[in-house]
Amino acid sequence: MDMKEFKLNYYEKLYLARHFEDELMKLFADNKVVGWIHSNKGHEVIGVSLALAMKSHDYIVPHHRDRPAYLAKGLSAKSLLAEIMGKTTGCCGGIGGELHIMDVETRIYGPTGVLGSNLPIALGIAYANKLAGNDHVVVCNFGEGGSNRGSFHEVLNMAALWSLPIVFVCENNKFVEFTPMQKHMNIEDVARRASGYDIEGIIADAFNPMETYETFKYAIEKARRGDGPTLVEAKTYRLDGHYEGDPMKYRDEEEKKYWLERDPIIGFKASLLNESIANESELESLEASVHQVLKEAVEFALKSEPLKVSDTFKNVYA
Amino acid sequence: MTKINFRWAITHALDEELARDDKVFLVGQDVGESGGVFGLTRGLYEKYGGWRVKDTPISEEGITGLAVGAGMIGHRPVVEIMYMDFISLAIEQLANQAAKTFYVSGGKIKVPMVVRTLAGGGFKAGIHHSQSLESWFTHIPGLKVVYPSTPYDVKGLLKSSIRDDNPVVFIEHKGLFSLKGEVPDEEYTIPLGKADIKREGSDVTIISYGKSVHQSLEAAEALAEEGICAEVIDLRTLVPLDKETILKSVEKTNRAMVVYEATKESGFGAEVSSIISEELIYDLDAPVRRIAGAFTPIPLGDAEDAHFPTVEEIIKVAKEMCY
Repeated sequence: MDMKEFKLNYYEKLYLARHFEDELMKLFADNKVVGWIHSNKGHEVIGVSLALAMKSHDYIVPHHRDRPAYLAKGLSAKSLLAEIMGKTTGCCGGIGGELHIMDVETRIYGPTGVLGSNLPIALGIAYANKLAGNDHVVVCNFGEGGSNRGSFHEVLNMAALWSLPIVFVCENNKFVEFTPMQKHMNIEDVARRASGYDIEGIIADAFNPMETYETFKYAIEKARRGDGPTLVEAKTYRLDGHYEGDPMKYRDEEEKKYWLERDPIIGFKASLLNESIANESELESLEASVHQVLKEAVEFALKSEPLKVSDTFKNVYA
Repeated sequence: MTKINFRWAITHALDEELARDDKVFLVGQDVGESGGVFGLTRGLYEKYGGWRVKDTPISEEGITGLAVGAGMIGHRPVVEIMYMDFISLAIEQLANQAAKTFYVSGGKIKVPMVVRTLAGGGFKAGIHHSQSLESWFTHIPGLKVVYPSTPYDVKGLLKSSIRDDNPVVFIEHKGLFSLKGEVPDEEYTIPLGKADIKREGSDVTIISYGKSVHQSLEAAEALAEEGICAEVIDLRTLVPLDKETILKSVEKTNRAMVVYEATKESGFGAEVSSIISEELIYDLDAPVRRIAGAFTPIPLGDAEDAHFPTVEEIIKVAKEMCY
């Protein structure tokens, strides 16, 4: 893949992730979604960079703001949207919903409604891969809030001790639900916690697509070589509330304005044009094809059958 | 048949399953080089190596979640939580993750895993080394709960638990470790969900599990001398529960008591008692009775005995029910 192809592919995935959220919010406002939704806006660069830096046999054990990674890793917009809407055509048959997207084919495992509980699961997948002697890498995502869980510390310690093929990705969006992170921790950089386990901690600017991609690529290939885990802190900013409908009384509007002006999706598009990687019409047609994919996904999810109540009594035991 | 004690039956089961399937591995504190606090994994580290018999730090949630993740992608991990009192730290991974993954993935992702844990009194070691906490787990859909009482049962049930495609909480009573019993020399397994009638009788059904089975059998022996013929059912597996064996027995005897070491209140005996009442209340000649642990933390030293069920108590209650 040459650089032009790579960057266009990158932009397409960013654009898809952002506009998937827009479609989801419209459906939510129309009362077509079951449960809550947690906006992924501001997290797109992280998910897209990870998916592009991973191989198809690598695993992701994500948190609740990783829809950009699911889509970029190959889960179809149809399957993802249908699942969030509780439809039988969703990747988990409509029983999982927004917080529990799992997919064996694209190797998405273990997201949970209990934040930070996915870290031990990721550790186990990495351990099993090490036992099997393959070169599969596990990526595990969580927020800065999740890094305050005991599970984070237990897992980083064991992953470091056993040099497991795993990359820890802290998506620091500066808010822990309704609370700015500085009210929960003395440190500003979660990456510093890596030194407590004698592993490498790296900070990436998650509003800078290429920097973030290169950082993940480095950490993933390091894990694949057998050189152990890395803690990457991807600094971002949650552009929306904790969940859709959050009035965000705790947010400083000036701060939001600062970040919005740096919106990486707008910035990345401008760089493609400025560096003559693509022209307006190429990008317009790429964007139109994304909107077509989303339109088809919405139609598909709307007309799909909701999970039957009788089916919710199944699958308690294998 | 060979006579071996309960602890070696556990070791043999682990050894045979490690040899049979390379997807099986063990994790836990001191399970490796030292062979475990009770020697239950002695020799396995040398035989299977440090990756399949893995010593871990004190990280109960971490290692239980490790098993969830490894199970999800087709391995068969066996975790040891050294004392069941410490399992509070692993409940998140067991109850919220392991138990619900198959359900929430729409039946696509199984979590085969076993958490072995050492429960019960007898070492007189006080509040944090003596509890029997099975009812924390029998309340959670998606988990299986096994609580064997003999060397034969512990070996056959542990092998079945490791081969099961669901998360299993496997409870080993520390007070049984030196109990000897006959175990076949050839390969065998015991299906989960089947109770065992350890003694047949016609006057009263004593339903029990774990160490309390042996107290129940001792009481039944004494009751026989006084003309009361007690039937002793060893549940062996609490989830899935063999209701059929319980109900069939109580239909015959019309009297039932449940004997267990855990705290009586909201313990598993309440579940058994309710099932009997719901199904057979009009057949009963006496109310269903529970003989179980006191509603106190478990004290240090010999005082422990006064907080657990006793043979005398079982005999006394059986007589009250039958006369």
